[in-house]
Amino acid sequence: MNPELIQAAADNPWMAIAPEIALAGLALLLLVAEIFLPKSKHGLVPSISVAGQLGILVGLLVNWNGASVGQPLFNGLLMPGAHTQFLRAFFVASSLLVSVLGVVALAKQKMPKVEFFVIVQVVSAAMMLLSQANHFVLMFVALETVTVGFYILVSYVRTNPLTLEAGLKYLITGALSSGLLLFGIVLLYGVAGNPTLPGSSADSMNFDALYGFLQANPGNFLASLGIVLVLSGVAFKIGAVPFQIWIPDVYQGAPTPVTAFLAVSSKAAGFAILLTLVNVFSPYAGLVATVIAIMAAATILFGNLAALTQHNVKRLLGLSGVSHAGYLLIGVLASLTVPVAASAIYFYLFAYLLASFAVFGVMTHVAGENDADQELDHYTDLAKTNPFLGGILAIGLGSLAGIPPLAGFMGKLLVFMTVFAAAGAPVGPLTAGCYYGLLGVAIVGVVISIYYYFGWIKAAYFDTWRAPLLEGETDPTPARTPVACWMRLTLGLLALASVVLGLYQGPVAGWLLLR
Amino acid sequence: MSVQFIALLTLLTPLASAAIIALFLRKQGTLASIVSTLAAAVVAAGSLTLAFGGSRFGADLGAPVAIEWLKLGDLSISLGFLYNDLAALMLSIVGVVGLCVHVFSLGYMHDDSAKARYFGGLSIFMFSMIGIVLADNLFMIFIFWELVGLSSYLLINHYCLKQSAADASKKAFITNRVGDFGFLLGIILCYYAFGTVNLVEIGHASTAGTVVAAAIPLLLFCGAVGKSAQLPLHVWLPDAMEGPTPVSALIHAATMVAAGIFMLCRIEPLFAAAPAVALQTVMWIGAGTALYAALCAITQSDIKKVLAYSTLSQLGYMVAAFGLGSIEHLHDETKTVVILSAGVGAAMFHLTTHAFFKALMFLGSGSVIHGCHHEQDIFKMGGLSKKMPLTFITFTIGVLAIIGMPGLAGFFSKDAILYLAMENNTPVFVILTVTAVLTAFYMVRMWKLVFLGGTRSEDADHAHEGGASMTLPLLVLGLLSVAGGYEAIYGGHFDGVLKQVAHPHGAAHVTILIVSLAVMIVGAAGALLFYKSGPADSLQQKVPGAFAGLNVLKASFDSAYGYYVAKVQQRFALLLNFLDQILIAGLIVRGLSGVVGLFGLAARALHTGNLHVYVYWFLAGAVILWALAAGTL
Amino acid sequence: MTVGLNEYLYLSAVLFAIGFLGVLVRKNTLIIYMCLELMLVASTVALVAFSRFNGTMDGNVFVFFILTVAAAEVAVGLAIIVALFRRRQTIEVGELNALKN
Repeated sequence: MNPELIQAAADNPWMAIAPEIALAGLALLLLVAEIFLPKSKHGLVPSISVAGQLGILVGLLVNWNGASVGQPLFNGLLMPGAHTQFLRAFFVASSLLVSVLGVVALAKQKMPKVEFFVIVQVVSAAMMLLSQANHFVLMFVALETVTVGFYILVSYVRTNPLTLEAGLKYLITGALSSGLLLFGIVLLYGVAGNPTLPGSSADSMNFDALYGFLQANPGNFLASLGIVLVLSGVAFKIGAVPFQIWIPDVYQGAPTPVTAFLAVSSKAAGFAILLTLVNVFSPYAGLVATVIAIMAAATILFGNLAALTQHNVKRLLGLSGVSHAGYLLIGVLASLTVPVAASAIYFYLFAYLLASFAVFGVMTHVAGENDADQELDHYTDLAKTNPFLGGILAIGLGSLAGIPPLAGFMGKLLVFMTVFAAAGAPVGPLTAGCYYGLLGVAIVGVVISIYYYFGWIKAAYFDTWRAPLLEGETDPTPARTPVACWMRLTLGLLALASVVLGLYQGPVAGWLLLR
Repeated sequence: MSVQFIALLTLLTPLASAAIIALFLRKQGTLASIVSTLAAAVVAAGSLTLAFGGSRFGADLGAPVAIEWLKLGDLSISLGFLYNDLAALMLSIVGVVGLCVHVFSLGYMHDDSAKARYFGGLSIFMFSMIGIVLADNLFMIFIFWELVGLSSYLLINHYCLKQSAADASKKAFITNRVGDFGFLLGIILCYYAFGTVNLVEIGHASTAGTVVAAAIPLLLFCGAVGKSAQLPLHVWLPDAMEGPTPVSALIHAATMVAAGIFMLCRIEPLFAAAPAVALQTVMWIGAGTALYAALCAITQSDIKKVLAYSTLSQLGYMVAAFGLGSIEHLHDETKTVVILSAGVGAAMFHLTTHAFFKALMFLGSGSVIHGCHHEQDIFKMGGLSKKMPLTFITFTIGVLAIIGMPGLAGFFSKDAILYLAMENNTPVFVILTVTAVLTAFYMVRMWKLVFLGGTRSEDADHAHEGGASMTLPLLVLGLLSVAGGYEAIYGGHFDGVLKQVAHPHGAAHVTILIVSLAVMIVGAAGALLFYKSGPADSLQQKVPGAFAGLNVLKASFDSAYGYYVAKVQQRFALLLNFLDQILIAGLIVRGLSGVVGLFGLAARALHTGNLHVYVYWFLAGAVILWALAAGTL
Repeated sequence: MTVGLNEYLYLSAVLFAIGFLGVLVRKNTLIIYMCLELMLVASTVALVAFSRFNGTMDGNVFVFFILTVAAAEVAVGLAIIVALFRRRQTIEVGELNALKN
């Protein structure tokens, strides 16, 4: 036998991606279960999914230092980083919560149940791989697995024309951005593989090789073109201006759990790969920093301003999510010079996960038959008729707005602090003033965001006048789904975690910052 | 169980009780009262176990108990316990008096419609008060300081449908804020100067002689002026009598108002290091309060108001005693440190005995009020000694204790203060002696009008003793009012405080004894001879000028504050309101939000829903980024 | 005339531009989708050309991955377009704007 193959078998890197394999395997198990279980027992599938993901999450937490940090796997396709285990746990937790929300939401829509969980898990596994990618082929394939999975998820309720329209819009814009990304990859591959240039490599799609090439060739036009194309492809994922335009429509049309999945996991995956890429592109720091700084400022302002006048809560969350991407982008900018900024970003994303799922959980219960039609008016008197949901909503939105004792505030504080530190050593054409300016923009953005977040809380807590119903008119507010016991537990834990993490960040921050 | 755990349990049990009552028992008043009383029993048991178990802990006593709560740069705020003899004594007082008041309340508040709210308030008060006692740093004291303020507000306002109660609670809250502002400034200055607010560390860190060294303790003293109702912030305490009588006994006589004196004793090293002017200020404010309040008490006709002014006067005594302590180091050949603490010893000793006999008298007055169907005017009582014999006996013990009858608790502690004053500062000694005469006078006056002679109203005719839950606490406190003056009953467990009390010897001893007996006899005899047991005030009838003068004196502070608020502050507030409405709310906020809203509408209009438009966004984005890429190269 | 790397790249760029332009101007969703696929294929042309002229093989391999991914994308995309046509009886982009503010 070929000695290389024997060596590869001896290394056996498969164990290193055991969590990803387990999650995808669980998806296959669900398909098998669907085939072999009698129709009456199909209700078990969501339970198996949730239980299995819970098991994987526990396994990850138990084996917390299990990632082989800094060792290239599969001939350099993968490179687990310092935050890999955190991101794995993040994606599994998010996938678990999406599944939990899915159980509630799908019951309302009377849609097939199995495929939803299967796709969510496969997409999450792909995100876990994406966050460790060290090679453009793997990155592209993982990214496309995520994207294609999302095409299906967004248009999941195929009886609803609005959902299908959202699916189509995501499909077209997503494919367009994939095209841009791919062309960028091709350009980089071609330039970095050119044997006549110094530092070229035969394996030019490998990130390490690419880094070496970029270092040896500062100011290559084709390379910088490739870099901006790749960045714009990733910008689509995280919803940064000007590639944010699809967000409100798709968020509104997608089923609520999928909206949550897009808002949390998809964005986190985008930031994970963006942080990796920014490192790879760091020889072109001037270009990267300029692009990110302009994007960040535009994203913060656009997201907050557009959210200001929204009445549909799904669109509102989408646009506010755009502004969150903006805050995180200035963190990415800081990570060029202050490595700890990456940890701050991940802390922020974790706080964002807790708060977002709390809010989306409430939305799932308040939503009626038509998932796309979720207006602020539907929240009138929520706190009075259902104080539990009202309380969760207030904590979740408060954390998103960054109100001090909650986790969201600490996330913002950490990110802004790293930006402040990064202003000491500005990159490329940027000056320290640019960093302070970005911080100023971010703070203005936070102030604006408090207006619409609290408008929502106000709708839930304080009486708003509404016209008395005419004869024959039905109440436009959809009936609220009763909150099941396990759902109370989940939402309660999320809110509690937001509060506790705001008051005491010890373990999470400590772990992240030590990396 | 470790002692630290017991301390934590003692602190948290009332909080748990308050939480349970607030969350589950808002409608079940009886159950709430039982939960709260059980919590008070746990506190009493815990505090006595800790005190008499002999263990002390804190930063310099071994086994420090502190967790870091918040760290921002160099500022770190920790939560911890400092349980020395001083805290042990105070905690025992809170525990014992608290339990007595809880039990008494079971009877007194039996028919109240908002019992759950009342007992929940008592529990949250117990939690906050214990927090003050155990706290090992000024920040933590401040947190609980505000919490007792809150619970005091809630409990004064218990009869919240009465306008006077609502006004009184607001007055108490706002007046305390004035003092707390100084307190907070003091804490900040302390942190600025020493880099720490830990009670033990500031004791070591304090430096003598500078302006800051005087400013810090004086600013902190502002907090005590508010909480312990010293001149000129005393105005809230008489009004606070709108609250239920057991609350007046616990919060506005025995514990919370004494917290100011306790806090002063905690930061005594700061005063020791400060220039003499700091302690002298404290001393004069205390002496002034003592005399002023005693004068005011003479004309009162409401039984609780008499006791309230008496409390003010006695608090003034304690503050004066604390202030006296620093000057004595001139003689006595031992060390200065011992003598400095004489003020602390005398103040805390008097605080202890006062807690017992004043709580006793307040509960006794509660018993009287309860028996007389909520009649509070002493001129409508009379002859209650036969109707309510047990209340009469215990109340008499309380009166004898406060006027300094030899053998009772008040005699010892008051003598300790008078001796200290005689040795250190003659003018203060004279003031305090005059105050003692007045104290005997108004106390015996009230006692005679309430209990002796014939009944003067129908309510007094039908007066009756309350149930066992009301008489039992009276007996316990009566016993303590007798025994509290003998150090033997403390079993040497509070020596850190009580050994600091300066006792007169030889000639001084005789002098003090004679003086104190003389003032007691003069005051008491004056009252007994002067007051007929009639339906009107003899003083008002015979010397109307003096009576009116005392009333003007009493009202002077309130009218001055009223004038200030109406004429100065109100006008300034109107001006600010105008600026706020027109400039800030109108121009800046509305204008800005309008502009931002317009941008928002524009941004929203960009989402046309048309896919082609979205693709153009992508094109524009790609073009801009390419231009950037080309431009930066 | 010899056909060098640049010619292939021009071809690729032109194809990419045609694809993008098609997405911009065409009204029919199916045609738009075909244009998107054209953009992906334009990239593969450049990829193969680079692979040939740089003397490395991994560009060629990547093409297979891209085609596989594109096939999956097409399957899902067509399904969505068909389902949408069933509901709305149209796949004209201009009429699909129910989702807006």
